[in-house]
Amino acid sequence: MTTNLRGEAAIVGVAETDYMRGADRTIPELILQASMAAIRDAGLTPADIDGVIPPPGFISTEEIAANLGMPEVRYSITVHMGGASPTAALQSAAMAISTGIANAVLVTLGWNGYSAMRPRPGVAPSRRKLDLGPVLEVSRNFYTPYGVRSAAQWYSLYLQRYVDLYDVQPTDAAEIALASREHAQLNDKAQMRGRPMRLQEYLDSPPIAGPLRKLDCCLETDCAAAVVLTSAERARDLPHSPVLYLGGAEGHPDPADEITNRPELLRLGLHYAAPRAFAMAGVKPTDMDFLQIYDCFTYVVMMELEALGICEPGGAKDFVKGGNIRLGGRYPMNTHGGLLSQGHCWGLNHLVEATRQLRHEAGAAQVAGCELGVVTGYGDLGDGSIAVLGRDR
Amino acid sequence: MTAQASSTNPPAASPRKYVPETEGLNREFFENCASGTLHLQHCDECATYRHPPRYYCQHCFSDRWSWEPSSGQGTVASWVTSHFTVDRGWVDELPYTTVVVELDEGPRLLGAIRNMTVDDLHLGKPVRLVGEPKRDDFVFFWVEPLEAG
Ligand SMILES: [Zn+2]
Repeated sequence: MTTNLRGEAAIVGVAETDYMRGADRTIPELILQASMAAIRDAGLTPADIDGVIPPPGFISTEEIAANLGMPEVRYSITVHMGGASPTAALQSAAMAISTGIANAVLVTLGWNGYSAMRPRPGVAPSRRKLDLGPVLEVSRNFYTPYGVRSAAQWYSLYLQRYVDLYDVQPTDAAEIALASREHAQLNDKAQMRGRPMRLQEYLDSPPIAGPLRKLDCCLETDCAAAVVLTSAERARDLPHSPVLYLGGAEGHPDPADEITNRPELLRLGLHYAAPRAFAMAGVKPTDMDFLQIYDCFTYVVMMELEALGICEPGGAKDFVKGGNIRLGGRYPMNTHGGLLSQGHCWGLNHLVEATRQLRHEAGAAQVAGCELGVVTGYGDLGDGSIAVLGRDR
Repeated sequence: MTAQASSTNPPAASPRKYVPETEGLNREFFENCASGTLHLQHCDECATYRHPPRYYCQHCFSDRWSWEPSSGQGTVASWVTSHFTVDRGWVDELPYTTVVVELDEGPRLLGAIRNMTVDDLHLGKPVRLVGEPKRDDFVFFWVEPLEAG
C-alpha cells in the first residue's frame, strides 16, 4: 500500500479562459470550455476522465460529465475552502489516482467574479451561486450585522494585528503588488498587461479596510481554468513533460469558521499544512525555484511566505525586497501576474502557471531551468492549501 | 428594499442595516440577550465561557451548558476601519470602525464603536459591550469606553 503520495500523480493538462471584466459567456460555458481545453492539452478525451472535482457552487460534477461526455465518473468530491479549494483538490485527486479509484481527474473552477458578485447596473445576477458553506453561519450572525461582510474586512481583523506586531509598512506590501504588475507585462492573458504600476500610484490608491489599499487587492474577474491529473506512469506516455505532485496538504485555522476567538490569531491554515507538504515531498522551502503564492491581498502573501517557512515570522517584509521575488531574483513569485494583476481564478491560475513553468513553456516569464516550485491556496476565513510540484527527471 | 415595501411604507432615508434571521443555537444566544444584557454560553462541566455558541465544549467536550449574564466588560483585542463597503446599509457610515472586544470572561465579540473614535483605540483599552435589542431574536452590540459609563 502506498503510504506517501510523493510522485504518484502528475498534472498532464492545463487550460484557462481569458481573464475578463464582463464575459459574454455564462459560468457553465466558461468552466466547460476550460475543462475541454485542459483535457485536450493532456492528449485525452472526456471519456478518459473518471474523476471530477468541481468548484464549491456554480456547477455540478453531473452537469460537467453530461455536457462534456464522460460516460463513467467513479469519483467526485467538492472542496469547501474558498480560494484554497483548487490547490487542496490536488490532494484528493492524487489520493484517488494512487489508490486506483480514478484514472484521470479533472479539477476545474470558473466564476463571474466581476459581473455578478455584487450589484452592477445592467447586469442580471446569475442564479448560479457560490456555496459559502462553512463561512456563512458565524459571519451572517456576528460579522455582517456590523457591515463587516467582505474578505478585505474579515482578513483585516488579523492583518491589522500582523502589521502592528511586525511594523510592516505600505512600502513593504507595495513590493508584492509591483512585482506582480511587472510580471503581468509579460503575459498576454494578464488583465493588467500594458498598465505598469509605479510606487506612487500604489501609495495614492484609496484605503479599503484596515491596512489594505485598493492596489493591495486582487482583481474581480470573470474566468475559468482547469487542470487534469493522472498517474505519473501514464503521464510519461502523454504529450507534455509530466509535472509531478510531490507533496501537498490542506490546513484549517482553529477554529476555521470564526476569526476573532482563535487562540492564535496569526496562525493560518497554511501554517498547519506547509510542514506536512514539504515533509511529504522530501524537500525544503528553500529548494524552490519559484513561488506561486495565493495573492488575494498583498499582506496575506506576506503571512503565507512566513507560513511556508521560507522566512521567519515577521521576515516577509525583508524577503520580498531587493528583487528577490521578481523574475531574475532568487524566488520569482507569481510569474503570471497572480490574482493581483492577471486575474482572480481562485489560484487555479497559479497551478496553470506552475505547470507551464515546470514544462519549460512559460515564454518570456520562464524561470530558466526550474525543477521545483510551490503553489499555495488561501480562502474562506484563512484556510490554506499547498502543492509542491516538480519536473519529471 | 423592494419596490413593494416602499409602496406601503414611507421611503427610508437610507437602506436598512442587515438583521439576520437567526436559528438554532445562535437564536438561543440572541434570545438570552434579548433584554440587552449580554449572556454567554458557560460550560456546566469545566466552567469555561465560549463564543460563538457551540454544541460541545472545546475544552472538556461536554454538551451541558447554561447562559450566564456578562458585565460586557473587557478590553480592545483588535479592530478594523472600513473605508469601502459593499453593504448599502452601511455606506452612509463610511468610514466606520468595528472593534473586537475580549471580554473579562475570555470570549471575544465584534461590536460597533460608540462614544469614542478610532483615535481613542489602542490594544488593551478597557471597554464595554452594550446590547441594543433589534428584535426578540437579534441584539446589536455597541462598544463604548468603560470610563464613560
Ligand atoms: Zn467544558
